[in-house]
Amino acid sequence: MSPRAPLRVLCLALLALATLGCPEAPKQWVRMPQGDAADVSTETHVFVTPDERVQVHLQGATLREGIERVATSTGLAVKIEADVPEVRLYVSFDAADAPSALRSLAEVGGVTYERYTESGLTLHRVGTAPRDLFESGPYHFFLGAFLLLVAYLLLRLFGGLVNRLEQVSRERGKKLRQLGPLVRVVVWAIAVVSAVMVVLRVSPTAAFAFTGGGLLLLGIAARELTANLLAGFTIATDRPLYVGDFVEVAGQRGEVKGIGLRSTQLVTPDDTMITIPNKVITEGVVASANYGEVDALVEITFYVAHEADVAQVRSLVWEGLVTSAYCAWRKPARVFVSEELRATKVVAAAYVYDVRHQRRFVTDVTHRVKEAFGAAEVPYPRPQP
Amino acid sequence: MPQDSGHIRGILSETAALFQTAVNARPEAHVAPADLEGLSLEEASAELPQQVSAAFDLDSLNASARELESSTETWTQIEKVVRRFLRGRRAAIAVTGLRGTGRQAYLHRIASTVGESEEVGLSRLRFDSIRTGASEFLEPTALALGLEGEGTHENLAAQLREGPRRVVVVERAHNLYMRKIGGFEALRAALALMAATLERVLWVFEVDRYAWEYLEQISPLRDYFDLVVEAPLLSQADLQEVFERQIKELQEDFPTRFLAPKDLPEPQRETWREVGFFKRLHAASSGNLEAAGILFCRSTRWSVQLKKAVVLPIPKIPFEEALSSYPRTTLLALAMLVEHEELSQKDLADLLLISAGHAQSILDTLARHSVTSRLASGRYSVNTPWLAAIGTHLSNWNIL
Repeated sequence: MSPRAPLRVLCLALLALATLGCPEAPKQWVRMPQGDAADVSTETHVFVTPDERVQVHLQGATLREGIERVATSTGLAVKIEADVPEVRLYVSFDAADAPSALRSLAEVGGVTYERYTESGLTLHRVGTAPRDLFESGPYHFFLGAFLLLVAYLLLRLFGGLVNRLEQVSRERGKKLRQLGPLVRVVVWAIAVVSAVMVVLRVSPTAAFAFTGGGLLLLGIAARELTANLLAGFTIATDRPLYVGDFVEVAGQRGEVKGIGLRSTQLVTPDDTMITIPNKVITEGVVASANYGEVDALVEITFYVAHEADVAQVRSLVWEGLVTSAYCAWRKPARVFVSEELRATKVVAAAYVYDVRHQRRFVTDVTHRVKEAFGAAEVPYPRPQP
Repeated sequence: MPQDSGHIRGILSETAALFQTAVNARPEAHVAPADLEGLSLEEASAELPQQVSAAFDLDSLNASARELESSTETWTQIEKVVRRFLRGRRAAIAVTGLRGTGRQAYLHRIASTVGESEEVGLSRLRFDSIRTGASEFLEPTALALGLEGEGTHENLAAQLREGPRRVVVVERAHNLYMRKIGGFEALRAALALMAATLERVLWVFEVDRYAWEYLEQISPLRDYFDLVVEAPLLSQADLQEVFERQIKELQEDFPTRFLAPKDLPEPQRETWREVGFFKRLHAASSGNLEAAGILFCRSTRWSVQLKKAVVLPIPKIPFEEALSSYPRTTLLALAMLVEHEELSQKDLADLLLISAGHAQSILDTLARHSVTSRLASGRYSVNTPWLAAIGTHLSNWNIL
C-alpha cells in the first residue's frame, strides 16, 4: 500500500458522504418530481427517520384525494394537517414496510418505484427523479455565482477601505491590512460553502464536507499548491510577518506588499516585485525589521580618526538623527562609540518613522552628518599604506 | 512586539472607527477658497458692530475662559509656584499649548501675581524669529534685561545672580531652536543661563505645544521646570460656557435662542443649551478658543433692520481632506509651520534644506489654499481654525 493510500481512501469516503448528504443526518430522502402524477402537484419527500420509520411528506392542493387512496390501498395511518394553506399529508409506516408502501404510492401516482443500494445505504426512488440528488436548475447556479461575486466585491471593498485609511493614518491602515489574509480566508470559505449549499441544495454540514473533500482531492492532485495554501493559512494565523514589514526571507530583502493564500509578494529596495511561495516562508528563516510596526530601528555607522573629539562627534551625529525628517523622534535615538584598530567607530541608532523610508533616512543622516563633520573639521581615518 | 490576543482585540475595537474614518476620507477633495475668507479674528469680526466684536476678541474670550471651573486648579498651581518664588524659593514655569488656546492669559496671570510684590521686577523677552546660535539668545537677552558687558553666558549669569530678583518671561521660546545639526545652541544657552540663575530669577518659558513635545522627547527639558502648564483645547461644555457668558453680555443684540427662555423653569434653565450649534462649533474648532471665536464671528451677520445679530450655522469646511494630497515636502513645511507658529521663506528653506524658490512655492501653494496666511511681517503662519486639526493629522502620519 502506498503511503498516500489511507489519505486517498479518506478523501473518497468524505466525497461519497458529501455526495450522498450529511453522514450524520438522521434522514435519507428521495424526491418525486413535480407533476409526474396527478396527485402529486409539487414534491414528495420520503424520509427514513432515526427510529427506522418511513415518513412520506406530500404537498399539493390536489393531494388529499390521492393520498386517501394510498392510505386505503396500503392500510396505512394517515394524518391530515388542515391548518396549512396547502394540504400536507404525513404517511408513516415501519421501515420494513417501506418497499410495499412506496410501491403502492408509486402505483397511485402512476410513476415507478425502485429500491437500490449505494455505498452501503438503502435508498428508495419514487417517480422519475434522477438518482443524482443534486438536481439544480440555472437559478441555483446563478445564485451560487452571485454569492462568489459578492465575496469578491466585499474583499475589493475591504482592500479599498484599507487603502483609504492608510492615506489618513498609515499606522491604523497597516493594522487593518494585517487582518487581510484572515479576512480573505474567512470570506472565501463562507462564500464557497454557501455557494455549494445553494447549487447542490445540501445542508451546511454536507456543504462543508463536500468542500473539504474537494479540497482534499485537490490536495492529492496538486500537492505543491496545497502545501503553499496550507502555508498561507499558517502565515495568516502564526504571523511570522505582516503586510508592510521590511523583511529578509529566502535571501530576499524588501517590504511585504501582500500575503496571499499561495504566495507572498515583496518589493525590494530597487522596486522589483518578488513572489515567494508561502511554503518557503514557513520553512525558512524570516527576519523582520519592524514586525507589524510602521517604524523600524535603523543603524548608521560612521568612522572617524582616533584623535577626533568624541563628545563633539557624538553631539553632531545625535543631532543628525533627531533632526532628520525621517526620524521617529518619539522613540529613543542613541549614539554608540567603540574603538577599533584603525578608527573610532560611531554607530547611530534611531527609528525611521516609516520603514519604507529606511534608505532615505540613512542617506539624509549620512549626508548632513558628513557635512557637519566637514564644517567642524572632524578628522577621518587616514588610509593605511 | 504586539501581543497576539491584545493586538487582535485592539484592532477589532478600533475597526468601526477605522472604517468610519476610511469611508469619510476623501483625499481628492480640495478647499473651496470662497469658504475660507476671514481667517483671523480681526478679519472675521470686521463687519460686526464694535460692541459685538469686542465681546469676542481674544482678550475677552481668554478672560471668560479664566472663569472656567475646569481651569481653577491650574491657576492655583501657577499662583503657588509664583508665590513660592516671591518667598525666596527657586522656581521655573513652562507654559505650552497651541496658538489660540490662551497661553498669553497664563502669562498675564503670572505677571499680575508678580505685580503684587514691589521687590520683584518683570522682564519680557520675545523671539519672533528662529535663533540657533548661543549669541543669538544671549545678546538680545542682555539688551532686554539691561545687562552690561560681553554677552557671554558667564557674564550674564553673574550679573543676574547679583542683581535684583526678577521674573523673566521668554515668549515664543519655540523659536530658540531649529531642527538641524547645530540648531540647538540658543536653547542650550537659554537653559544653561536659566539653571545658573534660578536663585534670583523666575524663568517663564512660553512654548508651542508641538515644539515642547519634540524638545521634551529629545532632551531633558522637563527637568529644568518646576511646573509645566498646558493651555488646553476646551471641551464642548467649556466652550459653550465661554460663549454663553459673552452672549449674555450682549443679550439685547443677540438672537434669544442662545439664551434660556424667560419662562423656562429654573432647573431646565441651568442646563439649557444651544447644543447643536455649539457641538458644530466645537467640532469645527477642535476646542481651540481663538479658532472658535473666528468661526463664531464668521457665522455672525449684523441685521440692520432687526438691529440684532443673526447667527448662521457653522460651515463645514473639508480643508483637511486636501492634506493627504500634498507632497511630502509640503507636509514637512506645514509641520514646521505648526511647530514654530510663524516662519519666513528663508527659515523654511533652511529647515528643509531646499532652495528659496522651492520654499516660496510651497508657501504660496499653502496660502492659495487658505491653509496659511501671509502676515504683515512677511512671515507665514497656519490659519488658527485649522491648527489643531492639521497638528492631529500630521502627528498621526508621524510627520509632526
